Amino acid sequence: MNAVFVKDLSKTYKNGKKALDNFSVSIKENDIFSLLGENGSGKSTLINILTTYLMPDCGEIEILGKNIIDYPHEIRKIISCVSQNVSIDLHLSLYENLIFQSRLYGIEKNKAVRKIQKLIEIFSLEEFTEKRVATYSGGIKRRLDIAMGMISEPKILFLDEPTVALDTESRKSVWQIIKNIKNEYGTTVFMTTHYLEEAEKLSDTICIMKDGKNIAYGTSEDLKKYLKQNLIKVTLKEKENIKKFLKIISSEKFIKNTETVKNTITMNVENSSENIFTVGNILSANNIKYNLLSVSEPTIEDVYLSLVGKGRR
Amino acid sequence: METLNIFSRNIKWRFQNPITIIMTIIQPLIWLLFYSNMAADISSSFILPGIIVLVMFSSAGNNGVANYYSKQNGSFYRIHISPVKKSSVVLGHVLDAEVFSFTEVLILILISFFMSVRISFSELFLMLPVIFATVFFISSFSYFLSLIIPSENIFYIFLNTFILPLFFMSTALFPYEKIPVQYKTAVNINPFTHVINSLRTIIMNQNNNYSEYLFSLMLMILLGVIMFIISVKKLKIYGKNL
Repeated sequence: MNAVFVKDLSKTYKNGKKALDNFSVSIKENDIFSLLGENGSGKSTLINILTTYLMPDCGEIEILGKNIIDYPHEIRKIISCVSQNVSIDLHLSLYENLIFQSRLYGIEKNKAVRKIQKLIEIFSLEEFTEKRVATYSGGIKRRLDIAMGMISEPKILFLDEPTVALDTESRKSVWQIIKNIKNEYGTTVFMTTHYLEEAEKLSDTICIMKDGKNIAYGTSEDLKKYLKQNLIKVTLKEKENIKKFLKIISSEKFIKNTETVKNTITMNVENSSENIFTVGNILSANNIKYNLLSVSEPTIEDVYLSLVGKGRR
Repeated sequence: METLNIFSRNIKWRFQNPITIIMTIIQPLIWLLFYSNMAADISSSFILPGIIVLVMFSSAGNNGVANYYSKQNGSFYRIHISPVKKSSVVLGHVLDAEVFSFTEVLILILISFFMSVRISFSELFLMLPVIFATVFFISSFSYFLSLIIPSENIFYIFLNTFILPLFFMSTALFPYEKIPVQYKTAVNINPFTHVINSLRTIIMNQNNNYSEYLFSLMLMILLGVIMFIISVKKLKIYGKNL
């Protein structure tokens, strides 16, 4: 059974903005699923619909086989969502926050206490139980926020940009927690993120979204096939030559788009194994010195940029 | 259990932030102190019921404000998508407003004791149902407003626009007989006029007007129940039809 099944989902807001346009996706149980997309691509609207907050205009949605329109109350018992903003109550202690959340799900006190002890251990929150929540760092607040989402041991946990605004250390700690959630609880994790590295490292499946549509879906390896063998990377010796080089290649038909990071220019081309010689010739003919010229394996970032049309010619 | 959970969370915030209690009681207190001293023919016992209603406006009227904070920090959404009943959510907030308002009313009554206002326990006991029902109505209405008014600033503007006219267009400051004829209909339509009259009847020992007392109590219960149901229904569909 799919954890989440969405077919031809559309949503237009009253102000006329079309947020979802015949969006379809299915997510297997116990998978970590990442939804990638730019701001305004429809990610939050999709989470809001799947968590029963918003009503879709049309489409079919099933959460663990249950229709979301017909059984919203039953679905609320088996899902949980950690929103983008940390939603813990700063006037309550760590323990009180977790108890409050457990009561929302009707968990009796003894059971809740046992669950809280386990969560404190899994989320490495032992040293923070006595401290005031208001004094926690962003990373610790986020850990507590996710722990609250897990108190009901949901079948599906929705995480809306869980590592946004966190430092590298805290981000890695949240990654570990997400892996623990999957392993310890068997929970399906539905996550939105801007960080491509995060999606690639954590996810079993990834969906790339643009203008409310699913434009690519699969494992990270599947998605890389979109650009397989069609990337050429060149690292120039002198930064001053970047403009000159981009101007020269702008008239070359075989180059679909380019992306420049520091001195490195990545070109999405028609046939990388053939086109690399042409690029080499262009560099030599124009006396542009370079450190590296190679056919490159695409990263998820390359796939993402290629699909959402961010590359600049 | 669900209601108690929401209620205890709110009340913890309230008593960790006593400034909210102090700030909302200042204005009614100034009215009580100055008006009863300055108006020669009006006693503190006469003015107290109107001031009690004003304090209920301030305390229960602000009940919806918490929603704006919880919408900002995401806890509104977290509670909304949990299986907890929407009626429990609204009731939890209303009960918080009850405790808040009763605390303020008791402070007013204590201060008015030093202004020679004497209220016996039996009189206080009679006042409680009317105060409870009035706070229930105002706080349910305030909660409803917080669901339909998009920003906190507009919410405050709305409250400020209506609270003082409702206060002045009642018998809070003048006996009904002294109100000009052209305003009498408006004063009669104002439901809070009847709350003030019934509280005044009790405080001033005019124990001959139980019909006014029962009428105001039933009116507040009716309005409170209607407003509570509307708030719960609005909360159920909140966000669904954006």
